[in-house]
Amino acid sequence: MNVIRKYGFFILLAAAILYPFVFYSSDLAARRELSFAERIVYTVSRPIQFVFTLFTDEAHTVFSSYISLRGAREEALALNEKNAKLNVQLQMLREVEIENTRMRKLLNFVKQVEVKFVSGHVQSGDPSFVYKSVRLNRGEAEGVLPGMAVVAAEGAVGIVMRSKGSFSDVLLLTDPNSDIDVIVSRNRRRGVLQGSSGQVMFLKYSDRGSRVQVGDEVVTSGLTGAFPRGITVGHVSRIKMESDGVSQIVEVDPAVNFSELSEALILLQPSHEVEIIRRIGGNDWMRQIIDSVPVRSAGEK
Amino acid sequence: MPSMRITPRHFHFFASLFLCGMCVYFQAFVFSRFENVWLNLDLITIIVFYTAVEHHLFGAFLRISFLAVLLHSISAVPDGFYLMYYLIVLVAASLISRMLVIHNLLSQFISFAALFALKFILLYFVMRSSVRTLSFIDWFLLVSPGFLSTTLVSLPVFAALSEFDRLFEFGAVRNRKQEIADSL
Repeated sequence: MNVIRKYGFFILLAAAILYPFVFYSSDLAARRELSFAERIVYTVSRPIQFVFTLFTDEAHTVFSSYISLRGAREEALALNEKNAKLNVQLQMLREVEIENTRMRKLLNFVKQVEVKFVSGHVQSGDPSFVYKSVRLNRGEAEGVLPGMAVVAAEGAVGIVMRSKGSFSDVLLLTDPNSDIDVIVSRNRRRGVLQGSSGQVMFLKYSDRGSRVQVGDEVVTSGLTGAFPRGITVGHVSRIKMESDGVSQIVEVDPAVNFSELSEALILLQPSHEVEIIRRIGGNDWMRQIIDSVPVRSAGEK
Repeated sequence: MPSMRITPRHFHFFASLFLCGMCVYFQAFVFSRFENVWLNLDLITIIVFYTAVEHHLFGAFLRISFLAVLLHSISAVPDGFYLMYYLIVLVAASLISRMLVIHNLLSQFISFAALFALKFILLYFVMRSSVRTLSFIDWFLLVSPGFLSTTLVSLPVFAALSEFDRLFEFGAVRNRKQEIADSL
């Protein structure tokens, strides 16, 4: 104890000087399973989280009940009208589905797999305020695993970065660590959508000839990662040329308003690619996905 | 054989750990859900600074490590960032408090603002590794509301934390001269 008292400050001083070199020379990765120390601290602090979960769930229920009651009659009338319209559309779509199934059989298409999902309630955000993640009240107990895609009614939300017991942490698409493979709906041009420090995302690897326009819808490609294809990610909001005059910076506004996100669906069927990487990749499997996506996408046109 | 009796000092230590945990979850469950960037109040950094200045080095190190690990288990910030930053805060605050008396409001305010600004500078370099196009001006504009509001609320929070320490009749404030003499 005397040694700590005598040399403690100097040990910490040396650590404070050396540690930044170690930290900045590492790969600055964020997403991984909880470490041993983190598991202990999480377990110790679990009662506190439980109290906050109860409080926020209760507050959310009271608030949403109040909101639901306000204008319930008007909403019911509007929903009745919408329901009638949807019934007609549904009947038309049934005909289209039958025709689609027949055509698929004729063309020997592989049967599409039905996507299973579990719904989760957003409990908390990222305490750093700079990085963007949310905690959902669904975890390993409900079959949620890291790498699974999370979507909302408006579009793609993010990817599960860690899962434990009764919660999972989801890395939002706007987080700087997020990279997903996307295509522009209008002209099927492919690119990688990366998060940023703000609330927009950047479409990478799209050259000047890609003819992306402001307002274009960007959807998931379904080629890599856990997202099935065709889920809306956002819309192009701004295009500007980079200083090299060749490449361009394409800003994409997310389809989902993350600050108002309260419910989300976790797609329980990860892609075949994610499953293989999960089997062979060990603890580092998720980083392998992230590392592989930009490299593979960059080479493809 | 050392005595296993729980002293007020032990009780204060565990109570302050509980308070740290509460603040982390409060920040995650409440403040981070607000859309308004002026409400990005970083209570945790205020607690870390206060702990580094007012508490004994070893106890402060344990509390700060607990906070850093808990934050890493919740946040998407790259692994090790909080541990690195809080270690720097602990050492810097300890050094500053050896050279200056930072128990008056102005010196507390200035010292905290300087160390809190360091967090955003360190985070900028982390962020630059993934967002290459991020300029310092953009970064400054993004984080300045949170920086200003946190710095402004730091003084009342310091006062509240000091009251919390007094509740336990724990003399958290150290005798700096004695400690300098001990460590040299």
